[in-house]
Amino acid sequence: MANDVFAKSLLTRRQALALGASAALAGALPRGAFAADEKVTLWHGWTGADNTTALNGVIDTFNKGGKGVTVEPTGYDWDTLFSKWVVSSAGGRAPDLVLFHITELPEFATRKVIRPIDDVVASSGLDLSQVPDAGRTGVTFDGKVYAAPLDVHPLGFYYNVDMVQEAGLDPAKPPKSGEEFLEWAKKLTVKDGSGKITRYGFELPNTWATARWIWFSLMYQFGGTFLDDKGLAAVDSEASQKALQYLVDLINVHGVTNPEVGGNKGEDAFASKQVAMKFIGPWEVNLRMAQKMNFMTAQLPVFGQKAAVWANSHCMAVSKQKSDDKLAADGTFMKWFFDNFAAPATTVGIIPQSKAVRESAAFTGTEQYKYFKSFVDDLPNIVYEPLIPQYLSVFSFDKPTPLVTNLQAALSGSKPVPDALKAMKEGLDAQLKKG
Amino acid sequence: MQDQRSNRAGKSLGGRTLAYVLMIVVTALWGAPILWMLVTSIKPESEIYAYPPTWIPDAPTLEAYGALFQRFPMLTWFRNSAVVGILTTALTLAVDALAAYPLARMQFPGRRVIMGVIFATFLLPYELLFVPLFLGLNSYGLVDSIFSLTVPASANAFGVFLLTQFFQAVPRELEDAAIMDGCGRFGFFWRILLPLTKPGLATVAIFTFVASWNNFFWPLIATNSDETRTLPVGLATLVGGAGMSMKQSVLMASAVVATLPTALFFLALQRHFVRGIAATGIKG
Amino acid sequence: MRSGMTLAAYLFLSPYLALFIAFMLLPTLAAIGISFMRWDILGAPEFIGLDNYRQIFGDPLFLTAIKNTFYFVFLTAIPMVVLGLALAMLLDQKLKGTAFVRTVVFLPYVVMVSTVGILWGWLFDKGTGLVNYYLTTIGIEPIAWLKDPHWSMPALAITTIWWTVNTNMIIFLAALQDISEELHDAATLDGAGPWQRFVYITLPLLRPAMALVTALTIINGWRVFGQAYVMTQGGPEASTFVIVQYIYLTAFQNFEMGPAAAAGVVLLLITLLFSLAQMKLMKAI
Repeated sequence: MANDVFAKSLLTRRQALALGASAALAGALPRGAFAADEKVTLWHGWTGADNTTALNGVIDTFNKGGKGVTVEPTGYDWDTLFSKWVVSSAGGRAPDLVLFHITELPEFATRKVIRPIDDVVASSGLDLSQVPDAGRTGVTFDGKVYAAPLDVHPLGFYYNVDMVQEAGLDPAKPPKSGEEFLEWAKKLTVKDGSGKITRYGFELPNTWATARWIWFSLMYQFGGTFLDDKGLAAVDSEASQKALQYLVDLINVHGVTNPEVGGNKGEDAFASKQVAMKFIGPWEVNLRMAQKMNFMTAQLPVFGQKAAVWANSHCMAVSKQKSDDKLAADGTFMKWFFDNFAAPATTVGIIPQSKAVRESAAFTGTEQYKYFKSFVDDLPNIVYEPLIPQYLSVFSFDKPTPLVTNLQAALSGSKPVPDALKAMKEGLDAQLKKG
Repeated sequence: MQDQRSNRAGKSLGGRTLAYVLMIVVTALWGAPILWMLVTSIKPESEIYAYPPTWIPDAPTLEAYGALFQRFPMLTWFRNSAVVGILTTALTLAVDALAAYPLARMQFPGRRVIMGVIFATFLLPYELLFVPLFLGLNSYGLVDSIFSLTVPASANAFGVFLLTQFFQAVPRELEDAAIMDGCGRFGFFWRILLPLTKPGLATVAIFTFVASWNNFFWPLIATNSDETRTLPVGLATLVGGAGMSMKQSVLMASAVVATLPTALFFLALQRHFVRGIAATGIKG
Repeated sequence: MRSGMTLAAYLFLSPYLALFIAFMLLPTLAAIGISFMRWDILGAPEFIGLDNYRQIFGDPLFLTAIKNTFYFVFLTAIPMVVLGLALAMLLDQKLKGTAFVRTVVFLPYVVMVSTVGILWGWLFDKGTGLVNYYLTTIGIEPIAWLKDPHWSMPALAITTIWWTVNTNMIIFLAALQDISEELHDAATLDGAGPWQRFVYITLPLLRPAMALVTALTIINGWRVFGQAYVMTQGGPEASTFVIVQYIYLTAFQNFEMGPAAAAGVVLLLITLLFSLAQMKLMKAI
């Protein structure tokens, strides 16, 4: 209703006429289902020009497919999506479908802004057996399925092929172990005549989340876990200390990286040739290709006893509404999207959860696939961050949480590793005990 | 500015040289980041991280602008922002001017209390008001409407403060004479006070328009689709956020596009703007 | 007569007051009310007295935020006023090009905060940023502006000064143009030099403008948020975490409206205190 007020006041007469005309035309078309189309709104965080375009394109294809459902997507920055969603839910104006990260699912399920979708999955025929165990577990909360898992995006290993060749290393044989990695990192670190470092072997920025993901991966590689059996933080464990100490040693002992170099906000150290190697998700593949960089990707080396790599996933859930009368339409789109995920996955730079899609020519035939392949190979080793209802506050991207602050303190050298992890555990436990 | 009479610092050649040197330094410091934004927006993605930095692109391209205008309803967002900005500015000018007149020039019981309360609300961070405001408007079905984007913003205290300052500077005798002539209070307000303080109104107009144009969080909460979004809300979704790769050129192009209208608005009104405050005397 | 004026006054005020009460005062009162409640936006609010205030004052992060914000106000207040005045004096001269320079200095004001944050976040980068590039050409070692907790707040202050000093400049410029030329000429005839004229004529006449500029600078300083949020997210090591970010994240990430509102009320009291102190101080001078 209110929507109409806005539309009327903003549309010019001519546009209104044009709209009316096209509506009339549409009505005259033989496709009878058009008028009866059920409208489904979808909120997502796949921002960026290319991502939005790709997503809108896929949804357009669906809308024109005569399935009786019209999906209207709206993009938000991930940060603001949740604020907006919760406030809108309180006002009864939530969208029908929402895309978010699998790690956030327990929080939204606890807040009751999403509903279980076992019924939707069953009636729509969405084939969850295509999804690896980790993904299926991730969308299940309290024994019920709450979302369709769409993709996985694990951390991966990017390296600059030109630099590797210059250093006399073989770009076809990326390091597989900690020792090999260190050898590469040392050879790829370049000093000028005066001994000043002009390029670091590896990027390990102390801002944003990259350092956290790398440390998290290494902790599991060394046999540790983030939480203990009681659900409290286990970040002061021996494995966790070893993992963080390894990273701190890369900075202080080996001098192959500098936490002040690089990051996520445009200070692109990889493109600006300040570093030769970095660990980041598959979502940077398209950017690196657009930058015309000569780069390659590989699986994360195994620094500890076993392979393990941080990952997260996007999933699609049904936002709780007063009535369930759109469930069938929601399910129709959800299944279709799950089955036709190759195109958005390629543009966004993520790996489809569905085995059928992952192995389809629509995904493996893309020019990006040679870079995606190593991420696909690492799928058996993925570890999600703990699926807890306090996820957003504990793992906040943009708040000096105990996690971030102490990690930064260890990397910058202002706290020794054991002290930082002890302080981190205390802070985390306080957060975890809270509701 | 025609009415700049003085050359207080530098009558001597040395003083003038110093002034010009300082002006060049100031222009460089304030202009360089803006110029960098402009230059980056026309660089191909492969040139952005050239080091040392380059101020002239090797292969300038409008690709980033193409991405903006071809793939997004930029014109819709522009129009929404313009409509919202103009309506908010007009409404703010109207109600703020009406309110500033008695506050500046009349003695009446409650005046100090009203001034105090307005000042106090000015100090509370707006972020806190949004949830009550959203739920309140929502219960009347007013969310996601032009109403929710314009009317609440017009209750801003800043315009009232500023206009009160401007109105106080108009001589008492003018008002007395006007009222003696049977002009009435509204007649004085409409026919004498407003024309005399046009520059003041221009000042408030600029502040209001810029604030409205750049406003992000409330329009985000208050709109629900691409069709009703304003420019900043739309732009935020296309530059890419956390965990999304981000193209600097697109980012900077969107910044240029968003800045241009307000910059032009300022250029158009800047003459009034500077003279505006001068004419009134913040001197109080 | 008196009551006639009162009636007229309220008639003039009524449209604004109606909007003000509906869209500012009521939400403000609601926010103050929420500061005494437990509320996650989705459920029903529950009255819990002063618990939220106890919670935030027991939260080391909130105390850090107050300390950091104070530091920001300290770093920006004096440069914003002094530089604002200096720019106004420079650009008040009858020289060719002042209008152009004025426009250049004013341009940043119209740039959106998200853009300001992203742009300066890049300019301040240790390896790719223009700031360090030009500093190294004059022999200064690269500084990790936004990744070193000692430099992050100064970097934020510099960004803010670049972005907003122009409003102060404009206000001073206006006030300077109001100072009559004759006063200066008379003083010059009496043998006063430029410095004496500045101290004995310009400064005293600028007092009202100075009061306004100082008040606005300090209030806006306490309410700093956007640029810090975009540039550093409050880091590194919580060095740029400010009060409004605390409020914003508590409200919209944790959905704890009560403590967020309580922090807002504390911020209101702090700015009120500073404004009153400043008014007293200015009167005393």
